[in-house]
Amino acid sequence: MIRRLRVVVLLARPAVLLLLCVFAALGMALTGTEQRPALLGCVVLSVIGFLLFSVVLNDLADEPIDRVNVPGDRRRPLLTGAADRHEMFAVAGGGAVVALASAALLSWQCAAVVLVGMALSAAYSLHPVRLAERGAVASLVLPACYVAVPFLLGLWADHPALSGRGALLLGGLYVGFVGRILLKDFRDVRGDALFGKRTFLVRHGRGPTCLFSAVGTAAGTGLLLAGLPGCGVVVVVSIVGCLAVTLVLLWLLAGDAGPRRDESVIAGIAILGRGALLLTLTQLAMVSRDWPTLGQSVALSAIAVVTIGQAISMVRTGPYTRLRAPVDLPVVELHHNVAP
Amino acid sequence: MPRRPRRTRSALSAAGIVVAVVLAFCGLALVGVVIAFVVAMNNYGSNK
Repeated sequence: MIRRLRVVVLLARPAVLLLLCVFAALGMALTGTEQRPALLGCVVLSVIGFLLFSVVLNDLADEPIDRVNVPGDRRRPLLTGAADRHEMFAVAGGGAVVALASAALLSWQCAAVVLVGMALSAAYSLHPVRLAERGAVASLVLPACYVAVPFLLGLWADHPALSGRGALLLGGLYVGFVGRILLKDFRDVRGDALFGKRTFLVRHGRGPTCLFSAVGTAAGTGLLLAGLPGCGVVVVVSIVGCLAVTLVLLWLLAGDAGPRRDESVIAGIAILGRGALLLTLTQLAMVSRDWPTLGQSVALSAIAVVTIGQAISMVRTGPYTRLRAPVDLPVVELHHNVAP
Repeated sequence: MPRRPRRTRSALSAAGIVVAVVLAFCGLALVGVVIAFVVAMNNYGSNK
């Protein structure tokens, strides 16, 4: 039982789940429903089920490629042997049922959003459609699943309607995420090329991918700011500050400095992207509760400083790893024989 | 059995969590929780 629960937690990809929950929270914050526990519970359950369904299908379809790209990755139960294919199918089926049932409790429109999202997820991973192998199309479809499904679930949790501001925010989140999602292929480029998975990076190379990502991120930020209510100087400076650091990091990424450096830079860019989402969520929540301008400015500035600081720290030191030298490791003198 | 040394939290993570707690106390509980989680998980190197 514990093992199966652990598998489900791993498959829910906690970091990605958190990101999807932020999109859902943004939708709810726009309509002022984010503090209603019953609605929040249904939305989060639906998002969890939808993500489990999508991740499991992708893990099943990509198993041979993942054996090259991320061999022995503890977050891939299928690769480590922690789960077999039957269990994976059971998790996908269970996820689909939970997602649809929770969404149906909200409204039929929410259930329809989840259904369309799951159809897109299946088309992304499975043959004969297999959008994941179709270059730019893959980068356009995946964000539609990751952004639009949770955002619309949150937005329509209480009353299904899409205002102009909601459409602008959705567009900004989607375009910005298209820019970011292109970068995930840097880690997988070897296996993707080996198995003929024609991602945008494999087709066009490092420079154009970074350029496309920069354009997407900048356009997404513009749309986001256009759709944000009560948009003051501090929130604009904070979000544009994150964008500026992102563009510098993309410029660094365009020059090949090795896979470890790429990993750190991409993780730094992801931190800045999530930071922009946090700033947007905080701004929405504070405006809807009539926070004083000074309080808003202090909170937003603090989040911006923490975000940019963490991104710079990530680029300099790389991600936290479980690999640690034991405390009682004996000191060994190493003698390097360097030939003249 | 040697124990793994406890990893100290960075000043930036601590600052982010303080902001999150302040927001939560001021009536933005959900926003505070989300900020605390995101700031704490930023160290793990997700690429999304």
